Amino acid sequence: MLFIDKYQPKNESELLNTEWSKVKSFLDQPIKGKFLLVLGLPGVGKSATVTALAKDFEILVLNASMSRNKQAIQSLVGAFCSQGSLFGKKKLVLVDELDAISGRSDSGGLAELKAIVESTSVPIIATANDLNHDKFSALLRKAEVVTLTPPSWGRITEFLADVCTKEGVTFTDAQLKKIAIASQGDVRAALNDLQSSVSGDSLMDIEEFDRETRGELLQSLALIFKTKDPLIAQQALDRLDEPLLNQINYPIVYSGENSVRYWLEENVIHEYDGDAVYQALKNISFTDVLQGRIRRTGYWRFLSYVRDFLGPGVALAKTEKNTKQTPYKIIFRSPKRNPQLWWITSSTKKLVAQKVARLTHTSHQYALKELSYIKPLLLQDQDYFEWEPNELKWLNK
Amino acid sequence: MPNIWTEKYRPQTFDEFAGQPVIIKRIKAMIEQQNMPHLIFCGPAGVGKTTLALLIAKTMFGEQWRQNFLETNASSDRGIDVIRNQIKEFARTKAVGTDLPKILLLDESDALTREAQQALRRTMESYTKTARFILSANFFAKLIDPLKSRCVVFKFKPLDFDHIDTIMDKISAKEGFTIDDKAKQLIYEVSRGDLRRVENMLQTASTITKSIEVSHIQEIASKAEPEAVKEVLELAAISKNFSDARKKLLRVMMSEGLSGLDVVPAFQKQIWGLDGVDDQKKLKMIQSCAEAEFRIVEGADEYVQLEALLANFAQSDV
Repeated sequence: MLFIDKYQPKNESELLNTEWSKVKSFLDQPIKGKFLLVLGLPGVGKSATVTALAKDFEILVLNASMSRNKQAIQSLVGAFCSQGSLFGKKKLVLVDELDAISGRSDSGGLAELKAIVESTSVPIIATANDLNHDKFSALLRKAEVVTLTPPSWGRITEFLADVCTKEGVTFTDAQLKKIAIASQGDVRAALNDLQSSVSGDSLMDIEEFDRETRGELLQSLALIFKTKDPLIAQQALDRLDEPLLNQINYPIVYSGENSVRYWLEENVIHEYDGDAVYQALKNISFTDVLQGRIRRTGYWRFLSYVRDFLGPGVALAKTEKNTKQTPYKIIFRSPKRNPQLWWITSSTKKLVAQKVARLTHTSHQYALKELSYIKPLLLQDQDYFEWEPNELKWLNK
Repeated sequence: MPNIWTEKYRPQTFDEFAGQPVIIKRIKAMIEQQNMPHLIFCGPAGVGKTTLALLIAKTMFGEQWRQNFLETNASSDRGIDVIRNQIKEFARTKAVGTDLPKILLLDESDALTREAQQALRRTMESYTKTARFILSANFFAKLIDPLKSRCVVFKFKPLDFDHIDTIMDKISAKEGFTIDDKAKQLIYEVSRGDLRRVENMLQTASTITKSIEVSHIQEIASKAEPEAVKEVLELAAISKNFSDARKKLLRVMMSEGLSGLDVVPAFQKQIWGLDGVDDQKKLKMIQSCAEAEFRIVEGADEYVQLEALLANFAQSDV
């Protein structure tokens, strides 16, 4: 299981921030006509704080991965607020990642939210990183704001030590301190870094955790490359299925230029040694075969096998001896090739091949192959081919 | 008048045409009766498919063949929309100076997707009054059944040594060079009955010498196989340097314009010649080539398959 799921705070004593009491008092005594806006940097624990404190509530969560236009909000929130709770619980609407409400596809969503805040008696809490945008100004007038400050690195170190103890992992303070400082208060990132440093029952010495390239995608990559637990590898992949806020935008997990597959393919050679590289690439290339089968048959069930071979398939390719353990940098290379690049060859050569193909009634592909040895006779035939200076230069090379 | 021999010696009459006697006989009869259906010309490269289509057009339209004949190549003009528009525009108007239908040669039509072939089938039906299609293809099986059923199918065979020998003698007499029997035999083997390649190799050799020997042909044949691909293979299989092999492969494919289906067969050919690799291992490497080629034919992205193949070659012991 992923540490970030396993060590979600369950009650107020487990919260790392100090502002949670304000959230608690809003839950105890909601202010009519107002909603609570919880602001803070990514990974500081906004949603975690709310869900930990509201564990006795029946919660309706509106998050960024669902449509939040006027109609959707109306029907979801309307139904939720008008029905009595099944379990006699108090109710709460949590609008996660409010700043991700999009102007176009979620049209009317913000206005509808404002209307609901004004009319309903069910408490509403929203979370956001930053609401510095005009479109939020009307809604902001209805907000009680609490800003969560990131926990200090000392506090995070204590927390990580606690996790290590529970996991039975031995550690040094220096190792944890390094992770905590690099996280800059992002507890989620710290937990991911910790989990990807675990090797057996101890921690690896990691040279540097790079801040610039951090993002959900890279954290997932690190987990897949470092873990030997197939379930963790699977979960690391699954996390990417949902669009998450404040990360580089990698919308497509399984296909497209920025898909996880290309990232794994690009980095496996730097992460693994020897036969593990081959085993991993064998599994990655099999997912490509599966993609082809999906395309031809339209049978999407194959995607579940793609998931198995990308996550666990790469994670299990390594053995103890061919993982590059130390020093280890979580700096991944972005995939360099555009998969559609094949036809962009050296442009003059391409022109020459096109001309030969046209004037000798053959295909471009055939002409390209023949070019390797027929240059001398092409040069002799200026009249027929009417070579341009740049083409002549290429032919004479 | 072109100097390149593949054009200079392209047959201008049915009598000059080498091989395929049965096909020639039937085509001539169709033209005489002014009743030519849609045709499929099927067979490997360089056996006369395009030449025969050109001959049909020249015989039917005489001087005006260029206006009434359109040649497009499915693998070069990649966008089906381009083909569709170009074809429709050409096919819907009447031929110039004759009541006969125009002729459209669609080269490498087996490279078209199934959807494009379906679209083509409708176009063929809509314009039968004004146009006839000749679909040339390397692989009959890649054409969809509805297309096959609308056409008369001709399967071309690779030229045998006697045909190629005759042609080489004819050209050497006209161009004033000599060629010994061993060299002829090697040209035949390397070209595998592809006459275009035979003529290109002959002409290249004749720029070096006027008395062609087997060594000249060997030199040209080795150039025809990209040397760089061999280096990629050696980096992976001998130096065990997967990282460099992978980088070089990408560069070679880009600069030479090679596809995965060019690279794998090139690997396959050169594996037996690798120095210092055990024969049993070579056999396993070739098995991996077969698997990679199958996957490329079947799969989506060839580069990842090639990477996996190289990583396999670079394994410490296969």
